[in-house]
Amino acid sequence: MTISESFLSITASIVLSLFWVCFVIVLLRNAVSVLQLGLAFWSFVTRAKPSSSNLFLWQRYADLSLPVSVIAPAFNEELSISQSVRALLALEYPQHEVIVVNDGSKDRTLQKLIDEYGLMPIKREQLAVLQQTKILGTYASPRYPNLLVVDKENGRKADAANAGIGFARMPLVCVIDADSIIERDGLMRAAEPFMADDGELIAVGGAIRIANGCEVVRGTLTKIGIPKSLIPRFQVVEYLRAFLIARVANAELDMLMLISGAFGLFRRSVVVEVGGYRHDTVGEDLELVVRMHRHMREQGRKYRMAFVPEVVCWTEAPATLQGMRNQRARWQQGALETLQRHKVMIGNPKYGRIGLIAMPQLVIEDVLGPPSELIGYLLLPIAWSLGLLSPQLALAFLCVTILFGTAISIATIALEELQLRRTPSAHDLVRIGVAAVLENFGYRQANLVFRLVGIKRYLKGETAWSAVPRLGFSAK
Amino acid sequence: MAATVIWGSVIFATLIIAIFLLLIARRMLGERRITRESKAMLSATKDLLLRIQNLQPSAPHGQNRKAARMHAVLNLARLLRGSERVKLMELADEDGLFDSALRDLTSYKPRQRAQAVELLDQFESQKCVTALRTVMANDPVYELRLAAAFTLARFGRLPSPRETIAQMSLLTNENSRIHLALFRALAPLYPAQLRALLRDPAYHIIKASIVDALGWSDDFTCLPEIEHASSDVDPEVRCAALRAAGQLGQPEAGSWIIAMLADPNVNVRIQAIRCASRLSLSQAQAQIEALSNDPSAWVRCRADEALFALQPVKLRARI
Repeated sequence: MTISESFLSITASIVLSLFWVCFVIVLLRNAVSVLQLGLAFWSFVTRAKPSSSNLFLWQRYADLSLPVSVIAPAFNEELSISQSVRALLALEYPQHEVIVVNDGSKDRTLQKLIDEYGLMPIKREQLAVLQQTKILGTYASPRYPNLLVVDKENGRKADAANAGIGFARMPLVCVIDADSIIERDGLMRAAEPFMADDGELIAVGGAIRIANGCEVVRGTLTKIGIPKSLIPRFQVVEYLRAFLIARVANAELDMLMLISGAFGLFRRSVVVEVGGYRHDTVGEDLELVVRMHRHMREQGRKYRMAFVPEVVCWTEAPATLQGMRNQRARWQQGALETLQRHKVMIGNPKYGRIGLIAMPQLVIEDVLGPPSELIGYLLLPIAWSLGLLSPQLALAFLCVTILFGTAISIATIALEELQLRRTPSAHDLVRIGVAAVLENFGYRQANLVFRLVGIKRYLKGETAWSAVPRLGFSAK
Repeated sequence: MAATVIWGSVIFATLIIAIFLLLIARRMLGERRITRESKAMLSATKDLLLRIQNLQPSAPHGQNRKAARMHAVLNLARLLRGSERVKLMELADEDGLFDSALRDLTSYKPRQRAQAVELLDQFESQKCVTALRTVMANDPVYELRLAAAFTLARFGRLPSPRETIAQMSLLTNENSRIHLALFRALAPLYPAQLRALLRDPAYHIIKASIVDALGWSDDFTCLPEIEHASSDVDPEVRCAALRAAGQLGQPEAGSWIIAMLADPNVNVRIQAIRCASRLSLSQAQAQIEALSNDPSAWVRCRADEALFALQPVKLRARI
């Protein structure tokens, strides 16, 4: 055998081995997805739906509900802030205060609020100082006693949320994005698990949907719709998969690892105890939940985190590939930063099921999965053209990625239709179903590339926050 | 292995897509049915309204489908009150509209029983109340017993406090807020029996829940018992007494409420501030102002809020 033949043989072995590794990792991810699908289905079938009598009693005995501080960090939101705040003040909840944190906006966000709500400067004690920037002032409204506006120097969303948590006077804090559209009774649904709580519940996440294509009037969603363009429509499918399958399944196993930054309800005392959101990560929502798990387990305290599968909040998805790229790269970078920071938990029995199952699952999903699938797609034509791969094996790879991915997405839509039925019509159901098929041809692969961008940013240690351009909501 | 993976994926995908297509077909049929049923429901509503007024409908009411009549009853139940509502429930009973739900209450499937309880939640007829009481007493699934209890609480038809406490296993001091709501629902129905429980040592472990519930009894003669509870050694009971006094809204309780502003327990002081604010006890203002310098930040917060409520204009800029 000549040197060149040996070289070719070794190269062929490497390519084939690498392909097999990618194939096995993709198979493993699929196995996790199927398990999650089964668990989510089981959870939906066995759960007790919130009864109307339950809500009636809650409304009658309003003081029994745990009061909530809704914290809305706002940065350059002058166009929508007045309506967003009005919608937050109008939420159906017995006792809630709204704390808007103006995070050093460069536009007239603060002035808009002052004008609209007749705000006056007040002196209010901050019960916990969690932010790193300076508080410039606090404002209250004589007309709306449950509204507080905090003006501060610019930090990041994490810093603004921390400032708001520090001013919160209620036992529960609900951290949202300023442009999140909370369902009128979303807060009530999300806080419901606390009604039957024995003191162990420390956080609740809720299902979030894409608001693109919906009709929004004065900060309130009035009509559910399906986005016209494909990029947000693909994200409708993605959000369904994430919130109806992954979160529900993980919550069923007491392994909820992420409560979205767009809507999360936390026991204030625990968030303050762990020091609030971290400022040095772009994935502060994931990091906070992982840190809460770590903190509670290291202290040997009993705790629970719950998930409410009913829709509690709507958010605007990026409508362009550039926006998608920034968002997905940030999520990926945030996940890697969190895994790096809490690597001691991975596979560590001291952290129970979080260390043994949930953290390794994050590793498969966020560290190994995306590059493996992408490398698999790249190696497939190379290995096939070199005659290293049988057509059957190539087809098998495409089946486990594209065909299986489509099936999982459609199963999620079917589950939604069976259990929640928030898709407006049969026609819309078909449109989402078609999107679930189409997303596997281009969008899915583009997403993998965006995640690689996130991995690159993580490896380079970038700390900049890439903005996601928003178009705003359609209103009639 | 490759063949297994291919066939596995194909079978899985085919199965899921078939289910999805069925669901789309079901939704399409449902959308068409809604149009048809809205006409049937309109007709059923007209018939029911005539029967409520003891008038004979133009056609026998049995001509409308049961589902349409059920929807009509559900809609009318939201609109009617008093004797008309009672009559509506009698008619629904007479037509056997809940019969299938009543049968489902004995199903071996918990989900089917849960759905039945949820449906009966809308109907306050005697037959439904009896069935729900049976579920509350005997169902093996606690969540279902609780759902039945909530419905009965909403109807104001809970069984006696001793029965409710026994059936819902409430004789523990770890009752959640939702259990506290059940106690409160008992109070206007059985105030005397709740007061008797306060004197029964077997129920001392749930004294705080009972005292709290007395505030919802609308019975002002409970005030002496509540005042007595305000000097209990357990801070939880003292807090409950303050909540109850605040709910009853009788200013004559003012003197002992003001005294509790100096309670050594933080939670009791917070409750006392809230209670004084709720009763607009302006004579408590000096003590509440003093609590603005309390060592506990939470007491200071609540004191500031109470002062805001007592004198909103004067103190607005300060808080």
